[in-house]
Amino acid sequence: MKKSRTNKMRRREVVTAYLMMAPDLILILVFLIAPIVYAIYLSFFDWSGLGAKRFVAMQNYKNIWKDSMFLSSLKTTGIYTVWVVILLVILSLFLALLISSCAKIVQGVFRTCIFMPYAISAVVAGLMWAFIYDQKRGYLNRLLYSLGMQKQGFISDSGQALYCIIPIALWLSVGYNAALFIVALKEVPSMYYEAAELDGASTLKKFWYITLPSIKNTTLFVTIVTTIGALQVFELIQVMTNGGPGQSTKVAVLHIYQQAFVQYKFGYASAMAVVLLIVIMIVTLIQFKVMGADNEGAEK
Amino acid sequence: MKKIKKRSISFVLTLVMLFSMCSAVAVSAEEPVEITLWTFHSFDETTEPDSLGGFWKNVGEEYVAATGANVKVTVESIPNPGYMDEKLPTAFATGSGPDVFLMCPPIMMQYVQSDLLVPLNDYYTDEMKEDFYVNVVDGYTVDGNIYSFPFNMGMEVLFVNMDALEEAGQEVPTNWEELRTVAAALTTEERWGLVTNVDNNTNMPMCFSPFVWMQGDFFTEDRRGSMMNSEAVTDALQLWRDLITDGSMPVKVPASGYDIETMLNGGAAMMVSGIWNIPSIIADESGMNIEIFPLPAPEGGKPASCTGGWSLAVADNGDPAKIQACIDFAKWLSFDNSEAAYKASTYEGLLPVRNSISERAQEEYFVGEHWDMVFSQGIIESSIPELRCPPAVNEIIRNMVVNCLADTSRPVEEFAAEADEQLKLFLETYDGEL
Repeated sequence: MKKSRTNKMRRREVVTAYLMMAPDLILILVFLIAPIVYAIYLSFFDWSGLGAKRFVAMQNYKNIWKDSMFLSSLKTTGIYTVWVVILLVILSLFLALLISSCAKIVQGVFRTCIFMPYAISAVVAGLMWAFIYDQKRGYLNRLLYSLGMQKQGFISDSGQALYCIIPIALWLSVGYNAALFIVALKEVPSMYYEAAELDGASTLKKFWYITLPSIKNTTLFVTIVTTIGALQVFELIQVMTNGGPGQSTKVAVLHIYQQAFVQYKFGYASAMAVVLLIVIMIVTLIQFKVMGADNEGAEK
Repeated sequence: MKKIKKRSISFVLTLVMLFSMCSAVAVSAEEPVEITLWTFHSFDETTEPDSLGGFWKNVGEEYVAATGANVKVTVESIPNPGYMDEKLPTAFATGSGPDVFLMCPPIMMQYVQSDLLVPLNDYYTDEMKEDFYVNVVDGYTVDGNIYSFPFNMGMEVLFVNMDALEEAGQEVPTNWEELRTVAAALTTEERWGLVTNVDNNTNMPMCFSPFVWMQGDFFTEDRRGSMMNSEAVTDALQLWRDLITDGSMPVKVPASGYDIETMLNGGAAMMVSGIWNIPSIIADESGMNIEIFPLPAPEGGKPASCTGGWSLAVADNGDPAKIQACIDFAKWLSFDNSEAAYKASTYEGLLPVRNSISERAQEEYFVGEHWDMVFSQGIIESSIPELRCPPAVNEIIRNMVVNCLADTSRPVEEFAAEADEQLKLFLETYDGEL
C-alpha cells in the first residue's frame, strides 16, 4: 500500500517535472532540433528553394569533396578559429587576472570598459571597423601616414584581410570571456594561495599549479564556446569583406549562405551545413577529451 | 403541441441557416480579391505621399480609386539588400511569397526556371510593344516569353569631378588608355582616381559587363555557348587589373560605398556607376562640379553601357482570380496609367521605359545639365540590358573578376580560361538561354 503511494507520488513528480520543462523543451524542439532534422532531410535533395525537390541521395555530399571553394573556405575558417580561440583565451584570462589584482574600486570601471564592446552587434562593429580600416581615408591609415609610414591595404589586401578581422572578433568578445574568468578566479579558495606562499611558491608556480587547475572548467567552457562561435563566424566577415578580396576571407558559413541565398542551392547548402555541424561536433569532442572536464567541479 | 413547437423551431433555424448561407455567398461575391505586392522601397506613417516611398505605399489605393477594380492591394516593404537575396527566395520556398513583386533582370532566371512566373506575352498589345523600348523588354524575355512589366531603367555612366580634372590638367578620358592615365593623375593620398563596384555581389557584373560588350560578349550570339575565353573578356579584366595595379582604383569598394556619396565626400575623382545618382548630385550643396560622360571604349571598340531597372512580375500561385488581378494591376502601373508609370520612374531618379512618357519626363523632370548629358551623348542608345543569366553563371563571372583582381601574380588569361571551363561544364547540364 505504502509502496504504491510512493510510486504514485514519484510518477506525479516526474509528470510535474516534465510539465515544467515543457515550454523550454518545445522551444528547443521547434527552433533547434526541427531545423537540424529538416536541414539533414534537405541535404538529400536538389532544391532551388523555389521549385519541386528532387531526391539525389548522397550526391550533394559527393559534390562537397569536389567543391574547391568549400574546402578552401573550411581552411580559412580553420585558420580564423585557431587564432581567435588561442588569442581570446589567453587575452581574456590575462585581463581577468589583471582586473582581479586591481583595487576593488577600479575593478568595476575596468570590467565595464572591457565588457562594453560585447554589447555592440557584430554588424555595427563590422561597419565601424570597415571605415577605420579603409585604404584611403581610414583612421588607421591616416595615423600611419602621419607617422611617415606607408599606408596599408588592411581589409583590401588579400594577405592581410583575415588577420585584420581577427582583432575585431577578439575586441567584441574578450569582455564577456574575461568576466567569466573573473568569476571563476573569485571562486578559487584563498587558503590554497596562503598555503603555497608558506611553501615559498613563486607567482608563476601559483598560477600554474593552483589558478589554472582551479578554473579548468571555465577554461574548457570558454574554449568550446569560442571554438563553436569562431567556426560559425559570418556577420563580421559578410559586412567587412563579403569574403574578399578574391576569396581570401570566405569562411564556411558565408559560403553556405551564398550557396543557399545567392545560388539557390538549398539542398547542397544543407549538405555543407551538415558537414560543418559534424566538424564542430568532432572538434568539441576532441576538446572535451584533451582538456578533460572535471564533472565533479574543479572550481569548488 | 410539443412536436409542433419543435418542428417550427427547426424550420426557423433551417431558414436562418439558408439565409445566412445565401448572404455569405452574396458577400463573398462582393469581396475584393486580395493581392500582396512586395517592394524594397521603405515607407512608414510619416512618409510624404509625393515621394518614392509614398508612391509605393499608396499605389494599391490609387489603383483601386483609378480603376474601380474589386481588389485589395496590400503593399509590403522589404528593405534591400535582404529583399532580393533572402526574403524573396525564402518566402517562395515556404509558400508565403508575394502575388506580385518588384524584380530586376539579375534575379529573374531562378524564378523562370522554377516556373514561378506567369508569362505575360498575351497581355502585351501591339501598342505596348511599340511604346516600350525594345531592349528593356528584351531584358525580361527568356526563350520568347516576356516575364514582367518594366517601369523604369537606369544605365552605367562615367561621373567625373571636373574641378579635380582641371586641377590635374587632364581631359575627360575617351578611351581605355586615357582612362588609365587620367585615373592615375587624379589619384592622391586621400582620393581614388576611379571607383566602381568591384565587390563580389550580384550587381557587380552590371559595372563590368559594358567593358566586355565594347569588344564582344561573355556568350555566343545564340546565348547558349561560352565566350569567356575571348579577348573581349581578357581585355576588360586586364583594364580593371591595370587600374588596380596602377593604384588608381581600389580592389575593394571603399567603406563609403560605390555610389556618388564617395565622390561627393572627396573619396573618388571618377566613378563608374548608375544614373540614379544624379538626384544626389543635383541636391548636393557642396558645389562640386560633377559631369557625366559615356564609359570610355577601347580603340576600335564600340561604346557600351548596361541598362538595369525594375519591373513588376506576377507569381504563378495557382489562383486564376489572383493572377488576373495581379496582371491587371501590374499592367496598369507599367502601361495603362501613364501617371503611375511616370512616378514609378522619376521618383527613383530612373528613366521611363516608354517612348510616350519619356518626352514628358524630359520636359518636366529630367531637367538640367546633368540629365542633358545623359540624353545627348548616346548613352541610352548604346545600352545593353544587364545580364539575366542563371545564378551559377553570374557567380562564375563574379568569381572570375574578383579572383583576377585579388591575385595579380597570375595572368588574366588563366582566370578567363578557368571561367570558360566552368561555364562549359555548367552548359553540359543546362539547356536554356543564358
